[in-house]
Amino acid sequence: MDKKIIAAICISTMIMGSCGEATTEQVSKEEQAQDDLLNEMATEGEDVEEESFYLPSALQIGSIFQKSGLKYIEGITNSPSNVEQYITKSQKILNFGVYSADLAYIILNGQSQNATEYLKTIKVLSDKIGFGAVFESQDLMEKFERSLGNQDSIINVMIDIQMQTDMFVDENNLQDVTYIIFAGAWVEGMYLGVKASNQENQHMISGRLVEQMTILDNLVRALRSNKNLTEDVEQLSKDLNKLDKFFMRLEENKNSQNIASFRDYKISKEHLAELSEMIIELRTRITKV
Amino acid sequence: MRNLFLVIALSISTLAIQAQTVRNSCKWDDAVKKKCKGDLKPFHYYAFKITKITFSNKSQFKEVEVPLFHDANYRFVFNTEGLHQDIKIEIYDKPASNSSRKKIYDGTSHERHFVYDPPKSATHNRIYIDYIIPASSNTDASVIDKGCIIFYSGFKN
Repeated sequence: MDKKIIAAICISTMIMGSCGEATTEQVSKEEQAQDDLLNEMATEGEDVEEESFYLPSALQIGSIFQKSGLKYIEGITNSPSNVEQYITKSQKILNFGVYSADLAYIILNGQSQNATEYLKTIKVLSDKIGFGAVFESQDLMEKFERSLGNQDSIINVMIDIQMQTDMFVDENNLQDVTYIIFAGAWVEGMYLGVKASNQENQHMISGRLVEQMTILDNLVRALRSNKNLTEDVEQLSKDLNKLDKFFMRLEENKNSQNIASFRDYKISKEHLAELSEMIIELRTRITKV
Repeated sequence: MRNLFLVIALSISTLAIQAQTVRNSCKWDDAVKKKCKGDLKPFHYYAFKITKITFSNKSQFKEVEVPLFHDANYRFVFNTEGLHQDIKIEIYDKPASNSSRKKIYDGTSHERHFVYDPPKSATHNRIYIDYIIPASSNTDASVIDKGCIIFYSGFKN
């Protein structure tokens, strides 16, 4: 088509469409970077809904493991001192999920002395991935610190944070980002399950690990629905898919859709060792600095 | 000259598209959030989902797959105040693609706000919520009707 026609169409469409008010507000480079990230990740159009995924929270995964006897082990969570070394967008988003799972693990095990540091780390990352608005309320941090030591209150604060995050995600069409966050949280939850199981609780924990594997296909599909996959998230998606395929091939889980209790999930020692190794490898790759 | 006609035609069609009015009934204000959150108690918040609907001249079907964990109890809260036209809500143990699936719940959005606790026997590691959306009752082609269903879920170990 003639360039003049294209130009004419564009101009006339712009005039009729009123392309919005020009803003004179100066934004910092950091804010601009956040906006770019949000725009990049946001889906186009408010109800362009091809396939939607409903994934659990890090807190629920943590509470399920904890109810099965998972104990607290010092030093297995990702150290908050690593936070400044996550440079790429994907590293920041994935480790936001990792630290969220760690915070749930710490709180559910009554380790409140470490909880504030983990929440602050999550807050630092939230600013960098465009989720700062969720944590900007001073009241939230104060409420969190006031609740330390009271298990029920602190869990309620965690639930509030989760709810606010979910609402923020929905209002800003950031579902793609939340799938990557969940991937980080899921891998960390599994890692903690692998690392903190012992002779005493191994039967229960392995049942829970296998149960968690049943939502892996949802996670893989969710990640693949993302149109803006970075190279490292694409690799993670491939690795998770490989893990899912390994699980699907296990003879002992052919009828896992129909079982009545997580205790009925079976996995041989060899397969559990193989699964654990894959989880540890994945987690190492996500958290390495 | 032909080119000029093309410009005018495209401009008119752009105007026609812009002349369509969107009537969005989706209601997700603080009152709705508070009501949903309140009705989850004593369950802990698990996740929420807003299913956005654009009514058209054809009926539509949307399915939400909810992963669940064994040995936990769940509560579902539905709010359909954001719909100006009723839809059907059905819950199944398996997806629509599975012919042997069992229906666990059958209702309509007419109730506007309701709580449903799925029986433990029906909840294994997945549950499927189907929204059956009829064709738009609106006969005015210049108006596009939109709405939403708000779904909250809670869990108790």
